[in-house]
Amino acid sequence: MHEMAVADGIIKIIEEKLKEQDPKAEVRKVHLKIGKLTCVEPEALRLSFEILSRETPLQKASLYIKSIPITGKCKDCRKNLRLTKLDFACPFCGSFRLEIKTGRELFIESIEIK
Amino acid sequence: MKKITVLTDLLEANDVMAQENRRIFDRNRILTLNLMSSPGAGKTTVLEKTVEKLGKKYRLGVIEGDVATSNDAKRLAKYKIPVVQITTETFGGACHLDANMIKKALEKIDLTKVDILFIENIGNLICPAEFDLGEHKKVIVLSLTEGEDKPSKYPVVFRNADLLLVNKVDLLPFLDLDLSLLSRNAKKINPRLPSIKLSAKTEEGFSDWINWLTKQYNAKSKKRIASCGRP
Ligand SMILES: Nc1nc2c(ncn2[C@@H]2O[C@H](COP(=O)(O)OP(=O)(O)OP(=O)(O)O)[C@@H](O)[C@H]2O)c(=O)[nH]1
Ligand SMILES: [Mg+2]
Ligand SMILES: [Zn+2]
Repeated sequence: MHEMAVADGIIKIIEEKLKEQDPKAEVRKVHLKIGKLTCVEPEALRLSFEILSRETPLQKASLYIKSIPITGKCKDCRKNLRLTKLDFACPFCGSFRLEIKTGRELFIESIEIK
Repeated sequence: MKKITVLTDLLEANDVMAQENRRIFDRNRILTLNLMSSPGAGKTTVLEKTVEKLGKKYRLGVIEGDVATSNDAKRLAKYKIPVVQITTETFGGACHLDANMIKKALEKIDLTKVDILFIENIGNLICPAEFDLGEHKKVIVLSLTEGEDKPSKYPVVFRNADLLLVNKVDLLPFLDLDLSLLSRNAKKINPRLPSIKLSAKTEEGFSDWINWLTKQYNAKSKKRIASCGRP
């Protein structure tokens, strides 16, 4: 499951951060931005995180997930666009030549600790 | 409660490491290919046949990704080429390879003795799509039995691919499958995606794949010479 690996990566990065900043802290909130292109299901991510964070400083933490849409620009009609389906076609002119700007995020924005 | 900013992107961290891998490949003059497919599409069979056909011309190496077993690595080891197994169970059972796993695997290969390195990704068409490993080309293996709609169902992986291998064409007479619809679906997602139809079993169409590989390898060596400033 994809989300397992992502949760594992998130936990490792935060554990590193804690080591630098506050080794005894307990994490309560994790703020994430997850792009639609990454095919990460928020519920599956929460579940994986819950399992993998046991016996770590993150075991009491909840995930706050902000979903980021797929946006970009069409290289043909030059319009800015937002994809609601994963069909990679420009909603204005149908072109497949798109420059994707957002949607690839697996971004850890911040954590709240106690 | 105290807030700490982290500002780290998992995919960006992966991309950075993938770039490092790519530099290692380039320094060692290796062409690296990432093979992706659904489970059982025929990646390992294609690799076995490729080693049989190309193993004398080029020094080949394989990195095998699997969640739990090393069956595929064993199938390839009999050809006496370097094969490294990555079992992602040790990485939380991940369903895709990432650049860090490849970096670790590279430590186990004598890179000065490899011309073409194949990475067999984990059988899955969703997760590997956005994880750059540092490869030069991404190859999708799709078997006929999977149906015509796979490009539309897994657009991300098709969008990022450099070659589509349509495998198991020997089964075409037994299936109710519209090959042209499959091509149209693939072209919709990725208009420039070249495709090769082959059978790893009967070897029909296999020479097209071998030619494609040879071309990629030659193109890469030429680029290298050009970038060294020599004619
Ligand atoms: N008829 C036919 N069968 C094939 C062909 N290529 C592979 N197979 C069979 O398909 C099955 C799966 O092939 P593998 O090469 O193990 O597939 P894989 O993609 O490596 O599978 P995983 O690594 O488990 O994801 C085996 O039974 C192969 O013998 C082909 O061209 N034609
Ligand atoms: Mg295999
Ligand atoms: Zn457009």
